[in-house]
Amino acid sequence: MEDAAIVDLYWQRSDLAILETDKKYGRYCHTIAYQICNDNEDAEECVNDTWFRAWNAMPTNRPSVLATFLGRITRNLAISLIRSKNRVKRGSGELSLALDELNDCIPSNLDVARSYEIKEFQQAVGSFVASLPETDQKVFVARYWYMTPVKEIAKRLSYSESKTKSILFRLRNQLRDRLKEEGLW
Amino acid sequence: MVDGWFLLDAMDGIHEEQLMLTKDFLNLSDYTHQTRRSPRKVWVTALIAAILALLLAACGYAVYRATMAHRELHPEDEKDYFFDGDEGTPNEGLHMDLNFGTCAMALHFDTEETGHLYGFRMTEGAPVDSSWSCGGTTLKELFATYLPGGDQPEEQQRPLEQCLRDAGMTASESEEWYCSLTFSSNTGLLRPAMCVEVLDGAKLHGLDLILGWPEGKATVIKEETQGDVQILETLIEVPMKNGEAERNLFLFRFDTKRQVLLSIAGADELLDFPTLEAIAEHIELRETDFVYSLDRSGQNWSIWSLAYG
Repeated sequence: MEDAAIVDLYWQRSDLAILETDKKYGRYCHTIAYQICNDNEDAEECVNDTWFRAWNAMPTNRPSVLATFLGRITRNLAISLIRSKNRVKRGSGELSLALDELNDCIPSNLDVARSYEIKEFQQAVGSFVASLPETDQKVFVARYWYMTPVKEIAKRLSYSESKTKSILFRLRNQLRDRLKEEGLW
Repeated sequence: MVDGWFLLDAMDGIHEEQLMLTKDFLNLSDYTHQTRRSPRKVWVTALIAAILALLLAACGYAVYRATMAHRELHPEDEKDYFFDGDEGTPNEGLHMDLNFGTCAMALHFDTEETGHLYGFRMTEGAPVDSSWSCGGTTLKELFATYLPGGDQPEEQQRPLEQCLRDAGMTASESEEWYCSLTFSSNTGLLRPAMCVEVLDGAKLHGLDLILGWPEGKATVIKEETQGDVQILETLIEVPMKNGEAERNLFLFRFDTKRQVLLSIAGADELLDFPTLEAIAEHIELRETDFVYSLDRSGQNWSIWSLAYG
């Protein structure tokens, strides 16, 4: 079923909307949640919560890209779940590794007294990623949005793991430089 | 605090294009490493959602989309407009053909029976000022003369203070917000120059507004939807005894989400639609906390004209 037709089902308050969404995007959202939670039950909970959020959001929303609309909800739910359970431990999954990597990206001379607006950072990250060459975009987004294991990214690109890691390292440095340039720290 | 979590949240700023590009690159739909969820759970989710929707609707919290529809009226129109005779028991009055088949247009509203009372006021910069009006009804007057008493049964009558408290406003505030305003001209025009009125969902429930009585002609000038608002601009021409036609402009802006209609009617000799639109842009609506429904004793029509307000 086309996305527009699924969205129409939500607007008509038809429970078929959820069945059709699950049929088309269940696996996609489950993968996003699983990469973050590293647990099937938690991932399942996030996906079911995603359908509820979507049900409550439409109407009044009419998302232009249903996949990413749902994916964003799932990702945020999964991150919130892990954060609330305080379950991030070394070796507990891709999330802990990604967090470690991103911590490297934060300068040591950060002004801790300053309050930072998440929206400014979101805009900066968005424009940074959009400015990258296509392969770099895929690597960065796969790792830090989808939380895909480095090994999996390397396999998809037919690169070695070490080469993929060095690409990620370079991209994190570039992001840090961009954030500095934009005066965000 | 800026840390890894913060940057993780900041990744939400990544644009749709890159997310879709990477989704295809990762071929995410083909992932099979996780155990797929049981379809039963999805059915349970769907079932819960359906029950939730019913419960929310029952509680009045569901997003109700009201609509405004218009249709031309023709002599052969068989719409049974109901008129409740003076001596009739409510809803058992006279069903009669009111000969509205020769009117120009009927506007029909699909709204909920119970709704919030709305008021309006002109904001700064409006082409007209409310102080220039020759008459109107403030929310205070509405409460004082109609809603708490008037046609309501005695047991439903409430003191003004109670109504104002229910509306969430002070007495002085209630004098600043209007339900209707009428403006006259000094050009010798017999009918008003302009009427502004707000009708909320409770007032519009099950109602047809009849335009162009008697034997008028309607021309739709503009019809569009902007977000939640349906806009209709129509010219109504009603023949006069001297053989000429009275030409009035009607601008309707119906907010489908808030279930409230802003009606601005103006004399064609003095006003045009751009002016009415400019006035509409400078009208602020206020939803009060006063929730009510109206007993119209089954009457399902109301004549809507510049002269009658």
